[in-house]
Amino acid sequence: MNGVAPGGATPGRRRRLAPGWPGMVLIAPALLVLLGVIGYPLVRAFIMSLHLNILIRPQLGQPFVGFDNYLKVLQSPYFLNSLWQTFVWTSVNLAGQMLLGLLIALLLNMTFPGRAFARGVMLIPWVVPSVVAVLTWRWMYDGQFGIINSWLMQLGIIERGVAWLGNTNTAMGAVLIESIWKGTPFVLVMLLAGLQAIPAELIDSAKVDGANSWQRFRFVTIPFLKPTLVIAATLTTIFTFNNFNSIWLMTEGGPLRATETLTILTYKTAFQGFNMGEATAIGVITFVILFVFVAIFGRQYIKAQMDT
Amino acid sequence: MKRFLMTTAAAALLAAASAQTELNVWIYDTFDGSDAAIHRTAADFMAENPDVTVNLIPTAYGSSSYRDPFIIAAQGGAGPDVLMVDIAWSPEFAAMGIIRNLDEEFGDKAGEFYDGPMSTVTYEGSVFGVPFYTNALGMFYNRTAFEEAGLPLPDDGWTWEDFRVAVDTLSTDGMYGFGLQGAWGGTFEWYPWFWQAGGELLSEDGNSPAFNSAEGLEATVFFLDIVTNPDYVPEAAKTWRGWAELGAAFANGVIAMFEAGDWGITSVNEAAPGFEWGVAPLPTLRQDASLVGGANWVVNANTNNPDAAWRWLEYVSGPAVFPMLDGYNRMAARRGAETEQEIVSSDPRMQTFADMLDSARARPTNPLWTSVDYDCVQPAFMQVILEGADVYEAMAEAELCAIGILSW
Repeated sequence: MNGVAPGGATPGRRRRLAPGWPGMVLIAPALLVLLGVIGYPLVRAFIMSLHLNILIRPQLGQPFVGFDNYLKVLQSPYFLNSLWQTFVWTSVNLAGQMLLGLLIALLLNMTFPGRAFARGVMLIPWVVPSVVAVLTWRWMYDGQFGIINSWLMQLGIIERGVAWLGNTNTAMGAVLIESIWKGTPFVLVMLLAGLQAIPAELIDSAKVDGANSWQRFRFVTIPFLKPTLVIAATLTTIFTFNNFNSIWLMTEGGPLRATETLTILTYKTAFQGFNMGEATAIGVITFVILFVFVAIFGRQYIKAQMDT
Repeated sequence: MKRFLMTTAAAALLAAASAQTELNVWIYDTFDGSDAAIHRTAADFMAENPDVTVNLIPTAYGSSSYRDPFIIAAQGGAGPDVLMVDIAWSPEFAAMGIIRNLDEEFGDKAGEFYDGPMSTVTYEGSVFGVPFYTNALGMFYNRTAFEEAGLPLPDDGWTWEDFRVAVDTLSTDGMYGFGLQGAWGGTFEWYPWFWQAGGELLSEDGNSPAFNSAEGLEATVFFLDIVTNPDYVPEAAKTWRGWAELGAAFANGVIAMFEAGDWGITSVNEAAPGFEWGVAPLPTLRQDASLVGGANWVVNANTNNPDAAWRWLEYVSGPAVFPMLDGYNRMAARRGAETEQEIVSSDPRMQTFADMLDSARARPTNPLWTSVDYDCVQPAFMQVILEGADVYEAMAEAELCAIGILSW
């Protein structure tokens, strides 16, 4: 490409332009929009987290309080609880969705009659709107009318209906099952695409070399799939870490904060306690945690790309 | 010539449009619909006030879909001119300073409305809105179950003991005597019992908790004794948080009684049209009491059209409210609803609710009360229900928690 600007730039001016400048110009509008919708709120939230801001106490004003909000949040037992709930929520979701997704992807990558149909069916949870899915699951979990209780009672596992979402020791498991059911198809689609990109000759030559199926999986499939696995894991982590809807619509973080993740706590602090200073402080902490995760995953991804 | 005429007409239209005041009004989505009554009311209002154009903007009812977007918009200097709000949100908005003080316009109209709803538009001695519709909690009961068990039908003046006996007798053969929205810990249903025993939620100045009193505890112990009995209340009630769930359980004979306002009539009728049931006042102890619910009209503090906004408020809370609310099976907060509204005068169940309005009370207008309820009282109830905690210890803890919140 030649970098002459209209109107005839002198050679001297031409040299100052970096070689990639047309690309920069082309992405500039998108970058500006991103800065506007992501950068600006982020900076505003950070500034807000350094001020006292209690909506129902306008007479207190909004004085600068440094890291007071952060100190209060970090000392709160509710925050520590929600940190732990977020860890459980994200890690079990990640493990469940990745394992199930990989397993089903491997199955759907084999040739068998009705494969196209099976692939279509597997996508259903993903295309159901999340609100519809959550409300359906809520009825399935219902202690009186729920189909899950009805099955378990027929099997003789329980005698009376259990309110799966209403007890502190079962609520997290119940929301996790719904979330893994909903999120697995996405991982599955990505991994299936990754599997199909592995050249068949490689598998064949491994067979000729005498590799058994486990060895072929471990030393051919997995290395080839690694970049896809890392991307899928990164996206799943971000989606579940930030997920608000499925927990909020099923339990609102309850009972007794048993499913109160950081996003739920942020919402409650902002719109139940109307404490915007502390709520944005929790938001900023959440952002930092997620940022660190994504940075680690990002390095893994680059490494995996280099290896293949 | 034709062209000239058209230009003149367009200019005239433009002139008229610029003199026109646009009033953006948020209403609950449940009040909208192609032939919804509020559209006729708005048309009548615009006929009387030709300089005002009312834009009704239906918005999904709910804290996160209606209340929070308004808070965010109003904090940013925007939002609708006027909005319909839940009575629980009015004091919060007043404390935030995002709705208009209406003392001057409102004057001495307080006597035109029932006391309970009136108290919900009053914040620190000033008026911040006008009452719109109202309701009170009553006891829905399964008439067939009562008759088959040989129990007298609940009526005016039935007592806590009558209620306990009824719950115990009706809890049999797969039926439970009582049901409630347990996902909220049951505090919503508990308020009336608490007041009937003579309890007060907050001290007189409204700044410290008073619910851990002897009278309060009497009600709390009685109420939780029933709720924690697995034969009286179904396990499933722990997750019930909506009227559809309660209405379905009631109409299918799973629960024999539950507390709800007039909105429950529609829920039950939709669930089972031929089902025999009635509504009674809540059982009493020392005094009658019920919980007020409903909605108010408030004006955004940012509005550029305070005059038009007030005219709308005055119109929709005036006599025009009676026929309009007939279209929604709702009772007006304006005095006279018992006789002026056809749905009330023609339906004995609605009359039961109307009769309870005199003793119905609203939750405290201290905007921190919601936090006390959600973060202190509900967890205390749940600790008793889910973890078997001691009521007295749980309520003492709730009191400490409330002191912490109210001292912000």
